Amino acid sequence: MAQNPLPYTYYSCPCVNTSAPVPILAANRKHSREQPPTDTTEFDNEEQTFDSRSPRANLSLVPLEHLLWCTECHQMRCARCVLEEVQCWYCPACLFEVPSSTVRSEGNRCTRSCYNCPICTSPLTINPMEDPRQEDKPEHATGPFIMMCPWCNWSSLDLGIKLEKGTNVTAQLAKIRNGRKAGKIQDAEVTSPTQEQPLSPLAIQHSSIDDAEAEATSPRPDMLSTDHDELFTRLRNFYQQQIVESSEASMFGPSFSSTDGFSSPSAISRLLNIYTGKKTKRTKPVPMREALSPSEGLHIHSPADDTDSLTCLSTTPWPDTTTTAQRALQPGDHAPPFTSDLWPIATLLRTKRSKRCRACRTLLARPEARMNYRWRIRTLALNHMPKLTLLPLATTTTSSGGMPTLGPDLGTPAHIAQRASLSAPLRTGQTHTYLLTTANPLEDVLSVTLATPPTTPGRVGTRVTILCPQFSVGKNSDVWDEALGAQPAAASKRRSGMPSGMPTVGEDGAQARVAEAGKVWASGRNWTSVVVEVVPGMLPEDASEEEADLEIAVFVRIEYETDAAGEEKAVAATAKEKREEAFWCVLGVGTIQSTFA
Amino acid sequence: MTSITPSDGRRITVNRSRPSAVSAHATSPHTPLSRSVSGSLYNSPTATAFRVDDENHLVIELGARSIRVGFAGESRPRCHLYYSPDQLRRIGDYRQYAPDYDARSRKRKRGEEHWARDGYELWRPDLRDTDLSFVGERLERLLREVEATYLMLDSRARKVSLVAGAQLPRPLLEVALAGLFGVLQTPTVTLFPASIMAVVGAGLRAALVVDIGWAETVVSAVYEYREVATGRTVRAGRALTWAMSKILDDDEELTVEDAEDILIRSGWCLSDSTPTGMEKEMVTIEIGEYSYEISRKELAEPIEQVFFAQDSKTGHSDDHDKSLAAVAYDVLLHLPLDVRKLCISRIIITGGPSSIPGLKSRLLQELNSFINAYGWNPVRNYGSVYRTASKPDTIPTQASTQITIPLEPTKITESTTKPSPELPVPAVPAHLAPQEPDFVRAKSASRVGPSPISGVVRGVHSLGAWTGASLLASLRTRGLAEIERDKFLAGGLTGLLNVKQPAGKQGVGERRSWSLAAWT
Repeated sequence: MAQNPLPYTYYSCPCVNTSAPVPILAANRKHSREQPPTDTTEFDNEEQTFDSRSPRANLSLVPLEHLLWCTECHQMRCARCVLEEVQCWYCPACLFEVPSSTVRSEGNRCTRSCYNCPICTSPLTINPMEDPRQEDKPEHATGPFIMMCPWCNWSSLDLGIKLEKGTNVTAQLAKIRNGRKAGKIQDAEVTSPTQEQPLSPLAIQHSSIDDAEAEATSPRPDMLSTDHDELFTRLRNFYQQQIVESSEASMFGPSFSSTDGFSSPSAISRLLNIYTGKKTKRTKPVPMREALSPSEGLHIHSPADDTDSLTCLSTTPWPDTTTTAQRALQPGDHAPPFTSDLWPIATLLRTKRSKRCRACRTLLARPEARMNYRWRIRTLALNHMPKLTLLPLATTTTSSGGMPTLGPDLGTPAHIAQRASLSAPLRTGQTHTYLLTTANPLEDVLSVTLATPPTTPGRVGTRVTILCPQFSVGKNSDVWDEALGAQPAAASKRRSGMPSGMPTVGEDGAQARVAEAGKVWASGRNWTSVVVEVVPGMLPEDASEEEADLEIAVFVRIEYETDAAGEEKAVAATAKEKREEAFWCVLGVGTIQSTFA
Repeated sequence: MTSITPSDGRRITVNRSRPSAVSAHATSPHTPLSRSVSGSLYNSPTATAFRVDDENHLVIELGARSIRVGFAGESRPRCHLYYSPDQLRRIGDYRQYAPDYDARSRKRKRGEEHWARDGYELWRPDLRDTDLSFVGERLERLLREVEATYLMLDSRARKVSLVAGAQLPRPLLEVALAGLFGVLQTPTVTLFPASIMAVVGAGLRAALVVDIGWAETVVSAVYEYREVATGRTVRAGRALTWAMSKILDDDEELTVEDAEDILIRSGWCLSDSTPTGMEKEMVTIEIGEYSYEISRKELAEPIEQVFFAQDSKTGHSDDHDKSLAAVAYDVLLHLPLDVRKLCISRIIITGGPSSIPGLKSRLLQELNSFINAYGWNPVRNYGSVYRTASKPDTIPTQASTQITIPLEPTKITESTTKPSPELPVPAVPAHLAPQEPDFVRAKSASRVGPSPISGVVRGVHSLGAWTGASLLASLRTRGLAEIERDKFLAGGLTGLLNVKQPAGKQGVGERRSWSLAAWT
């Protein structure tokens, strides 16, 4: 089954509980029947634990690598507790930067020659139509050009499109498309006369009734195109006209309440009228009327339209109809039913964004404006929060069973063996042991408290025991301190900040060792491993795959003393500030094997 | 007054630009439109000239199955997103992009009750078991994605118009507003009811809107931009896709994606305008690696069952048992006469499944046959007096009055009461006498304009609720329900409605009272 590559650790951003902007929503969250609130900041409701299987949890769980860190609030910041500002726009295909004025005027797609295949979405190439023998001189290639999909062999010839130039495709395509639309209208014009003269209301009355009768009795092709954009333009013009007419009429009316100041000629004449005392005839404002003719945007349903589309449907085989995915990709909710109407998709632009903390507006990340991948500012949570990793305790490996000296490096052969054993399914009722390693990126000694519900929520009820839930992790001091030391055990002994009760573990004898409750399994310069025992519960017969995936929610609370926030270093040397953080983590363990399979 | 000649209206653009200011077509010099309808926020005339606040005016249509987001003044939304379970993944979960990933193999709960429940819809109309905070968080995530992928705003959206059904439950509305204020940081949100926006999008003032949605179909009669009557039924998109999922095999249901695919690619509806012989054709449908041979008639079957209630027996009185045409007829029946005659010739069929070819013709045709069969008599059965349906024998067809529908059942009064002998019997009954000329009406007609078409069953296409709202927003129309961020965040919707401002304390141009218009 598909599963996230193990091991994985997700962090739950505490903003779930604090970001409810509306009191009533907050109240709802308090009394929500399905999901108890996961209060992490205050430890007042200890019974309520984090349920990693609830749909809400999926929205709040983030891998550590995706989290930012606010240096002012001393909290992690996920995608929903940051504010984003666009730094620049660029096309991901041609990597050209697009100025904001162009984005405003031309829209959110590349206006150069970047297009995607409407069938399979891969980028289109623009090739000359000449025979391939002349390919050796592509710079001398002369038109016509066509757009080709290298993946599915779609080409713009399917639409009958040939381009004169190989560059500036957008303008050429727009021209072709508009030409086709205009062509359709002209065809329709030939068959039926158009209304060219401005109509008096009476004429409209007659013509509209005539129109309606004609359309009701004998459907004929509309004299105007019924294209969506065309209709929109006509409707907008119609509404604007109506508003102008009704407001013009009301200007001479008694009301002074219209909000147009005194800057218009009609308003001045109205003022003059007041002072000269001439009585204008008060006309009632003409109410806005509805659109009456196709030229005003009215589009009457005629059964012939349905007959046409049904005839098209019956003559088109299944592969030539568009799928939901293809329709969704066409820009602007434009859903053509047949593949012959699909248009190449201009590539969507992308943005580089700077991110600010939602609470204090501190800049958390700011990319460089140029087209490169560098950042000016980026404060990652990775550098400020302990990293938790869960690995199976390798009981079968014959090499030194302990941890490597330089911290949890996952590239060593022993760990490759461990990773292989991760994919093995878990058996119900059997005790599996795991190593939970906490790595400390800070330059202060952490004291860590872990907590987890004894059985996982839900029907499966896996029993989880952390053998040593309280321990401390050494500070992230200079790597050379440890490397130059004779022995890791000695190095850890020499550490000044280490509490005296900390058990030290050597490499020898690790293999035959049995995990003991209350004792740390192994530790190094800035990491500590403890043993977690997992006894998978019974999988019900109708269990879903989500239930078979075993995840452990762990509540992590860390305390450390650090230099005070005051910047003066003289003061900082003496004044220590005690900080405390708490959050939920979700550790992926593996898949429970179904006994019914 | 100008008529827009084809050459004038044919300025086709790529239509990707955001039109900023409106340019009115009028013959006489007049005040620029942008000022005359602008809000009264800045009351000095010079201040209004410098306002550029229609930049980043967003229009959002929030549905139970999909969301449309775009800029006001554009004819099409920038994006139309359907909800899917993939949007509920954790960040950093890229399993869906793995080559061997197959969404079809996922185990789902089966049965109609669970159909398309998990992830495909944002809410159900029944909110009792809905976790509202989950809906809110999901909506926030969606909006963030839309903003980052399609809108890419360079500054905050200044205004947002939210198009939603007037039936949207208040808690959901609150959640949606909280999401909009939270993610887009907009100062105001204007609410527009979807049915009225569909009417605006058709260029009308009164209409019968049949909005075939996801969870339910809402039939609403709109008169002068007000909803005056509604009827609802669960015969809508969800029920239709469920019926479609059973089309290949009665026991094995398809996935939601496959069912929707079959529906939009080959679904159709029988009607008078069906080409001859279409029902007997065979189609080959390909799903994944499999292909199936199926007749066109079978493909039309789910629509017959779900929308036209072929499966339910007559005589049921519940709205959910009636066909769409019957619900529409009932709504029309309960309308006042003047409203009815306008609505009946302005029937707008909109919503996702309304694009199924043949459906509009069929609905209009069914409605017509209802009217022909029953007239406008709400009583179907007079018991022992008349066993047959009270079908009027003659329908007076007078081209001059345009009203072709019998308005009153006439038979009963004629047969049961005898004219008293004292009174002289008129040679021609009053209802058959020619209409006397009405001078008042003739005068008003010359001033107001033509009398609108009424009385005939007629369908009108609408550009859709989103486009209607985009039109309205670009004309700087003020919505009735305009919600300000600060006040909403302070008290929520209930707080908004309870605020009572002391008289004389309000600032210039501040709103006097709060209303939620159709949503109260």
